[in-house]
Amino acid sequence: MTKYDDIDILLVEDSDTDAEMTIRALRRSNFLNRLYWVRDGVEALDFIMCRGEFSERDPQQMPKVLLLDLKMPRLSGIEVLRELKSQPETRAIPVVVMTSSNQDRDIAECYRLGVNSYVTKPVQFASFSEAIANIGMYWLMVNEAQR
Amino acid sequence: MNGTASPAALPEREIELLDGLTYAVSHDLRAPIRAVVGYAAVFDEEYGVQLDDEGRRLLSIISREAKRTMAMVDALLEFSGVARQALLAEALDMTAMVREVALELAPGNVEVFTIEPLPEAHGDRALIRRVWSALIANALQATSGRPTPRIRVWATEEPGRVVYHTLDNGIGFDMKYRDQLFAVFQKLHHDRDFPGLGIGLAAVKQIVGRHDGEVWAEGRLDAGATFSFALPTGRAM
Repeated sequence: MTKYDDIDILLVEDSDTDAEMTIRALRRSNFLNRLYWVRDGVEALDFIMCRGEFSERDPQQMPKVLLLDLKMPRLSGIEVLRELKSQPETRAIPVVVMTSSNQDRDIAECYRLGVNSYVTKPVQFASFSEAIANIGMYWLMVNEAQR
Repeated sequence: MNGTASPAALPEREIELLDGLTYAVSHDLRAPIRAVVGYAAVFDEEYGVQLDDEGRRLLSIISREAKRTMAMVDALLEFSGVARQALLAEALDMTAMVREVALELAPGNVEVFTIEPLPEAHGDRALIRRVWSALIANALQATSGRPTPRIRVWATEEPGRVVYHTLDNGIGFDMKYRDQLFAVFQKLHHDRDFPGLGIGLAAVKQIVGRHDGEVWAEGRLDAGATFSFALPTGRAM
């Protein structure tokens, strides 16, 4: 097993400050679980598909949820979502999109592509709980408390 | 535009370009402002106890002003949203809508209002409701320092259109600045007298314009104001 296995939350976020704030918010709400942070869509797909840097990762172990930023260099969140939801092996991974604003033009497109839920940045406890509840993963909230 | 002086209309494609720019700028501006708000909060949480009163005061100003900037950016985003979204026109019971908005904005204060029966309008429910919300919030604000605030809402029918009016006995405004009333982030009163971002009336103008209507205001400094908007009748949009 590598350090990339047994991951609960895969955070896909290019901004250092947004990522730090998100990780803080999740930690404060005991949501942190096992989180791995990648910085763009290419890295996210490499992680999921066990390619490149992540070729040693166990393909049987998928993250329990993907927390996905939309606007990123190289490959955007929309493209990641499109790719994941079009493949039978990855379609079932719950994806929560993080948008910069609820006026975001991409939200409708995300739903069309099959996103499971979305949260608005800054990611806060209440909105993240709701998103997690939406995808039926209540246990993600209590994981930390049980240890 | 009915008779009022207005700059030459921009071609559709330039409006689209401007709208796209507003959207992109406000969208991308949110990220750094979010970081300032977030890191100021974390700083306060982790080092707040080590600061003296002056240090905490300075930090709270950073935080407050960053939040205000965020609110302005959000307002701009919403504003650019009005220009983009498709209108869902339907018959609107304006009397009921105004009562609802009045009750919502001044739940303990409905005796301030005199709402006359208003002719039905044809328009987008959510957007026209925002027009009433902005006008009534504005009137409430303008009368907030008055011993007996009064707000009257009525309508007049003209050939081809209905004009809806909101009169208040509040602080009013100087007619020489009336062109500024409906501009984005433009305010005729200081923050301490009239808090708010200065975007409500700009949104009113934009929404009424999208319904092929017109909006204007009349008032006198310290002697109340009347805001009026006209919506065309008798044709499908």
